[in-house]
Amino acid sequence: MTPLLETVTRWECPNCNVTDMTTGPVPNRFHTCPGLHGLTAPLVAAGTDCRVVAVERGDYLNGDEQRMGDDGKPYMAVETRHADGHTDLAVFPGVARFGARAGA
Amino acid sequence: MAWTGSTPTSRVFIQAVLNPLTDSAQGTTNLALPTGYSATGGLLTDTINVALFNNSVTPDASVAVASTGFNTGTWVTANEVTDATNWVSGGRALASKTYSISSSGTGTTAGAVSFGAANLAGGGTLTITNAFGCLVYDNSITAGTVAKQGLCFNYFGGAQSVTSGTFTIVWDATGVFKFTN
Repeated sequence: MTPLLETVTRWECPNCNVTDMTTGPVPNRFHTCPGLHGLTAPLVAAGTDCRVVAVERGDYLNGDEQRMGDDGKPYMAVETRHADGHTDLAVFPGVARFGARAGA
Repeated sequence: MAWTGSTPTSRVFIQAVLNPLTDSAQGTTNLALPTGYSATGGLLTDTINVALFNNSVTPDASVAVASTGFNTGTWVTANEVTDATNWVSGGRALASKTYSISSSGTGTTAGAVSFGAANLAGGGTLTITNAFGCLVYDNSITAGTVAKQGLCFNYFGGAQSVTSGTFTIVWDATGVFKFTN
């Protein structure tokens, strides 16, 4: 009998103290990051040489409802910039609306 | 005018509200729903895709239904942003779709009913350049005035690019789209 080996991944956040551990293939782990304006941000595999940064919305709100950080600024993405040049991106689209009154 | 030509820049197509969303509430004996649209399950049963687009599109929530479909109107594949393997033309399908009350409202604040779904990731690592927003459409609608009828468009707030990495759309806490009063 051949024993099956489970892959264990340890996760961490470069911007806060959150850690996690998973078994099996898991491409991404997200959390609400207190170190990144309370945005939904990915954890990275422990020891990864990277920066995880929040990207402010690049355009006027123009009536859109966009995800806001705890600093009151609208953010359109969280980008993971790896030392080898590749990037990961979590993008926050505006919510499409139908109706007369904003703020719901 | 690109994405900023619409105000707000993320909106529901009014034709989608008329048919199928509202018309399906009348019962199928009273009207014809788009071919392929589930008369019993609606959007929760149909395959709802998300395709990425560049800044050459001119989103218009009031456009005729014939111009709301994927590969029609401004939403032609010439304006689409794709990855050869993990976010191909036509986009990717939403999972865990649901309707919910995102805000019950009060006498002075608006209530809202939302259509939500699980966050949407690419099929693996991918490279995407200058995706400005997405078209959410019903991929199960195969005929009628338009196939693959659009439901809404969502602006990303600027150019989004990723290089040999993961790409995930994290929907707003209040949904992919919502109806407010």
